[in-house]
Amino acid sequence: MIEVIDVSKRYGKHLAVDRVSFTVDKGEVLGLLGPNGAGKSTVMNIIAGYIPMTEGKVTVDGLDVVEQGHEVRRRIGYLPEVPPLYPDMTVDEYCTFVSRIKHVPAKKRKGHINEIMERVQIADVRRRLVRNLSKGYRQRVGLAAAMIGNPEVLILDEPTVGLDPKQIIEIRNLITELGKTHTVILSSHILPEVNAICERIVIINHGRIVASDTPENLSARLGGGKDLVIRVPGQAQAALGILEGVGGINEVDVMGEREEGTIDLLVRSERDTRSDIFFAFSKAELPLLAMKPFDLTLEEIFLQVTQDPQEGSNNVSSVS
Amino acid sequence: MLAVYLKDLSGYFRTFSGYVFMSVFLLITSIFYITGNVLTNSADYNNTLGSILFIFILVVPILTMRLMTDEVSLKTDRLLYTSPVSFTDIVLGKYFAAVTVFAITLLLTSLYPVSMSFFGNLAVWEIVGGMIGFFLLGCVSIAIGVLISSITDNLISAAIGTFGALLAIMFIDSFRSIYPVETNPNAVFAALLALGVAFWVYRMTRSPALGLAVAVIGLGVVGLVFWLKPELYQGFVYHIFGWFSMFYHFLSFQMGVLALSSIVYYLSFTGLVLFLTVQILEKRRWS
Repeated sequence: MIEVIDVSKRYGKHLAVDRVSFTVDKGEVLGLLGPNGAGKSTVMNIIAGYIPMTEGKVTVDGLDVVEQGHEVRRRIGYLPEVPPLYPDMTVDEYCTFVSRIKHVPAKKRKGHINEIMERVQIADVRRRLVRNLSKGYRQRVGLAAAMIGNPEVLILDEPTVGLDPKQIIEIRNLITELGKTHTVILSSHILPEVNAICERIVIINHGRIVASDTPENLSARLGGGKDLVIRVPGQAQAALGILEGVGGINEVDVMGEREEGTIDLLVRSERDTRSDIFFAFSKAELPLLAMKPFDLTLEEIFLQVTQDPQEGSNNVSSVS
Repeated sequence: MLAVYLKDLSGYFRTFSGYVFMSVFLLITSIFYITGNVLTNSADYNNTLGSILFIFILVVPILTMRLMTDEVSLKTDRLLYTSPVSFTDIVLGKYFAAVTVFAITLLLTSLYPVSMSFFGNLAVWEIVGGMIGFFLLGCVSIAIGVLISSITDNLISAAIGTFGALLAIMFIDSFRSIYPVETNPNAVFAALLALGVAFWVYRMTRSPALGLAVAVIGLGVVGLVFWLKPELYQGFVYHIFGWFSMFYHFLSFQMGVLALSSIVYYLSFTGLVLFLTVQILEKRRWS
């Protein structure tokens, strides 16, 4: 459905996107993951036809984004990083305007807008001025604008930014549902988010693709949550001694004192060692104050996926 | 086009800008109407219109400064440019929205001559002709404002740019009438013009060779004509600047003459400026 072939974007001497290639199949939900400034928005702007690429080619449904731009834009709904809203309009006026520029037939306009407003839950603010809406509502009005005209492809740049946890879950569910009938590209800098919604993840850093895989394969490569952080009272020596007696542990890193009088340890194992660790400490009468899976921050994921798998485990010295 | 037109037309009345334009326009015209017609007991309304042509320099920026710059600053250009509407749709929609506000305001000022008609016989058709000319002059000015709004990045530079451009066009008439008509100064001007074009070509293509070639050819042609037929340069500046002198073309309307040539001039000038706007937007987007 969407083919991105060797796309580069240069701003003066700065290379914002460096030979990025990927394809999205019809009905697939693809996640673009990367820290801020990685080039996610630039890639999305190029696919949506807002800015031209310096090199390369993008096709949507076999149509060239540059050469047949008008046809491509009929097939794409785009939610940019900042929702493109007119603050002096009411939500109703705004949606009507968008439906006009997307050529929704006048007869179907009202029903279509009502249906979308219900789906993104903005019907209760339809008579309010956009300038008076909260960030969460603005984001959802922007999402509604992308959905108007029922385009086959949805490009959503950080769709859950600024929403509260309940709304995030609702929007995630909505996107999952939309993914059944649409081709969706969404970007995020939050790993669990793309994990939850996307069928495939492309990780971008410094304008380059550093990994492209399914969420399952990706988390397997990242240690699959077998790494643990534990907190014990006293000094590290005692705890290290106990952990030596537990089988299946590859490595233990001392992370330092996070709470007064305690010590945090990062335990890397090849299998699930939680019960063994628990019983070992209880036998030694040293209480485990906390035990939690070690979540990698995005920066650490980049370190890991860009590194040789053998070296990967030596490099994590601190956890945020 | 209709969607953009309706959005921007209602936008004028959703914010202050439409009301500001109307009040400033009506205030200035009413002052000149009172001093030029009422207090002086004169029925020559076209003379009043002729004396307030400067009004466009003041009020057109109010009307056009926001049109394109707002889309950029609100980042709504992302919505417009990724929707199935063309630049022609966008530019024409915005242009006609501004022209509509201007037309409504101008229609309100027709109350002045109507109120005069109660006190004597008016040369009705002369005044209608004058107002048509006034309207067309406004249409050209608005087109220039739309052009400048789409090449500037913010509201202030759009407003100042439009003000300056219209002011310069207004001064062209004085400039061309004081510039000597003799051959030599006009030939010098033609040579400078050729150099200017060459520099512009160099700026656009970034190729020194091409710029130099254009300069050499241009100066060569200027020199050749000067050698063979120097009398061609007589009044050269006067004619060249005549093309831009849109305020001058109002004179025939002021005298109550619906000159076809002036109507064609205004319409083609407007069309050319709008065409240029679309081309510039296309180029800015894809480069």
